[in-house]
Amino acid sequence: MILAQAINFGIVIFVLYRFALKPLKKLMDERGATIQGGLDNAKKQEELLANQEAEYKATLERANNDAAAKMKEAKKDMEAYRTAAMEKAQDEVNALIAAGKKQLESDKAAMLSEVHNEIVSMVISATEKVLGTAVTSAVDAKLVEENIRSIK
Amino acid sequence: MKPAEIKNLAHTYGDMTDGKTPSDAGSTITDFALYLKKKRLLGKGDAIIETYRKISNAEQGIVEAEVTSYSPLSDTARAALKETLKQKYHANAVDLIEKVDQRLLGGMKVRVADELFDGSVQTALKKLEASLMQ
Repeated sequence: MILAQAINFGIVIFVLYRFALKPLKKLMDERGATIQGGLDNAKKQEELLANQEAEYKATLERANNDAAAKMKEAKKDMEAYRTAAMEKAQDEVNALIAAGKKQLESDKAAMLSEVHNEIVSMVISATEKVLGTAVTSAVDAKLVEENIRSIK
Repeated sequence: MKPAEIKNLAHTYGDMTDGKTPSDAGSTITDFALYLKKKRLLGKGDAIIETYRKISNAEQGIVEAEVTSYSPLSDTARAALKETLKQKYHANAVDLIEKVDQRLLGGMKVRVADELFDGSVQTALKKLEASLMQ
């Protein structure tokens, strides 16, 4: 009886093992492998994400640095341009002032020369008129005498 | 007509008339005038005679001077001028052509050939004006 029960128990164990425990174990193993795969995959994804984030940060930092450098360079260029433009404008103003002064001096000289010549013409004309009546025969005779002496 | 041709004709005129009596010279001058007419050079007659006069004066040592003065020259001045020019140009005689021009304002101008002695007050004033305007 006990033997029969032992055989039945053995058969039950065998059947359980063969048709329940083994597939369950296989299922559990597969499930475990799937979970492990998912965990591995999640870890990989996490690492990838961390890498991407680090790369993004590095790229962002590089971009910031580039932008700052470009900004600095642009500021420098702008300052140089502004200085050059100021110098050019100052030179032009100086040239205009110099040309104006020169023109003024030239006009002044021309005006003075014109006035001078006008005065000379007036003096000569007045002298001619005075001499026209002032040169007497005696004066003319003296002039002629001097002219003859100068021919020698 | 070139000056050299006028000079040649003046020499010819001189050769034709030199040493002739006034009556003989008259017919020669007529012949010369007819020759000029034939050659259509009668218009140059005055220039030819003037050139001849200059040549003749030069040969005889006569200096011709054109005098322009403010008032007519006195006899004393005229004599002094002739004597001065005679000595200056070593001339036998001086022939004065006198003109009066009151625009000179005083003094006189004497031209002998290409040489000009200008002692007029007018020129002195012009020189003064020019120097003052510089």
